[in-house]
Amino acid sequence: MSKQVLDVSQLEPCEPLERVLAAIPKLQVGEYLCMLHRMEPLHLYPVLTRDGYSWLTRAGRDVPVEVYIWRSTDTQAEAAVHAETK
Amino acid sequence: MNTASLSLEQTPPLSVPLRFFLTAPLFGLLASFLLLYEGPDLLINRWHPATLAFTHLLTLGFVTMVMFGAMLQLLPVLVGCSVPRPILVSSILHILLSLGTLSLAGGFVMGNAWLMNVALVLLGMSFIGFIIVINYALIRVKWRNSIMTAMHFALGALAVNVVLGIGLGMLFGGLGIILPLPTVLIHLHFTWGLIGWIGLLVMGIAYQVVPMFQITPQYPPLLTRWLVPLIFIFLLIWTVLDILAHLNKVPFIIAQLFPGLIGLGLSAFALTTLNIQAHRLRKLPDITLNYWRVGMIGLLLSIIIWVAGLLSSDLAMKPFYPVLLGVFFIAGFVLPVIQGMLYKIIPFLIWLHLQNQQLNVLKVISIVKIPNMKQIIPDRLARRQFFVYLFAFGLTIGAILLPTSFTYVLAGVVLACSFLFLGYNIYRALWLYQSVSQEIANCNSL
Repeated sequence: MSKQVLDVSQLEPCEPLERVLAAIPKLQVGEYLCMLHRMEPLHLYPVLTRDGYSWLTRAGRDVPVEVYIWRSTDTQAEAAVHAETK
Repeated sequence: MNTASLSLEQTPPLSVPLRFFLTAPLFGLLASFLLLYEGPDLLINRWHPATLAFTHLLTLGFVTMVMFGAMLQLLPVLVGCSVPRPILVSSILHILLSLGTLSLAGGFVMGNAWLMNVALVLLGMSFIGFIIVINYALIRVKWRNSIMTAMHFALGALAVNVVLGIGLGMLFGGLGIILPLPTVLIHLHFTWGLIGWIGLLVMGIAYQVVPMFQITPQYPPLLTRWLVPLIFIFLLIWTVLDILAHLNKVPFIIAQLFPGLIGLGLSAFALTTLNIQAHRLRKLPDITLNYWRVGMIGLLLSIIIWVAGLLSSDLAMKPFYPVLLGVFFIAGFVLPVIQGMLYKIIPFLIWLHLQNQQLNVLKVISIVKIPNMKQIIPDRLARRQFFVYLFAFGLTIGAILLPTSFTYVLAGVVLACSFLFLGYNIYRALWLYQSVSQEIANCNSL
């Protein structure tokens, strides 16, 4: 399974960032994380850039925001994200 | 919206907001000591110099102190515009506001015109500097949201209030100016300060922090878009009509319509906040929720007391009435909301800065365990302080209604304990920050 889902939509600040920072180092080749959030995690983006991850944010179906995160060097995961979100 | 600018790096240094947050409880403590020193007269006569000093120690020394820190912090993070040279600006504003408030309280208590005039200069510089700095930051932002709108109107109300305050201060300071209708101007100063500056800003901040920290549904867009501007416009119209009514140019009943409308607007805010809190998504115990609930009930009660005073001149003429109204609004609405806000913002900022420090020096490999928000200010400490505050508020109301040498001493002692406890919780968080920050720095130097 290349998609990992992390629902942080009902967690208060600092918990969503803590959870996602704990989850992304565990991503295997070809895997990406789909983070479900009630707001755009603006503080997360610079951290992702700094640590070599890419992301794609879009309006969610069940929650207001979905953020897809993958390693910037992982073309397989990137293709999977684009296939799901196109 | 330019999301790239709303980054972690936009967050000003922790010392910028924290200097204000750390100072505020000290002024609360000073206000409590003044109550103990001056005795029951302070709580039954609004014109008593000590009552004026007490009110300004709370509204400037505690409330405005926190608001200055909160706005300097929130602007870069929520709005994406940075304040130029934040450490220098916050240091100057902090010193001016602290010394100005002390001089003002001293000027009132000692009846010292020189101190009063010093206070006017210091506070005038502090407020004008603050308004210029915040406006300079806000006008560079090309988009608008509800918190920015509220900030604009709150700053406008602050500007009106500074003009009124300086004028009245010059009158008290014996600078030989003559003001028409001084009692009406004092009433306007009181209303613009409490409802315009503090009330509108609390509303703007609530639109952001209540859904964010208490995991509630968002406020209705209609309310966040229109309520603050409407209340500001009602305040303006009421100001003109109230002056005209006192000059017998319009009937009082027309002027009194607007406090009713302002009361309705504030009630809509309080009831909406209570409603979205009742529908929060994660129903875990949260002490800051209790603070906000008490604050909203305090706001509703102060509106009821305000409107009752407008409808019954017998009640409004009672010496304790204005003090009771002021205490309900300040201690029953503003203080709990601000304390609830501090218990979320301070742990969040400390966590954010430690996280940033760790990420900068260690990348993804975490060596130092960053405490989470609940560890930075534990719930049990905040909960205990909440009950001490609640007890202090109840005793202060009791001392106003039953002013004896016993009730005011009890109210003063418990009020002092409440601010002392709040200060302990905030300083304790700072000590924790310093120790973890040092630990991260040590790991980096290994």
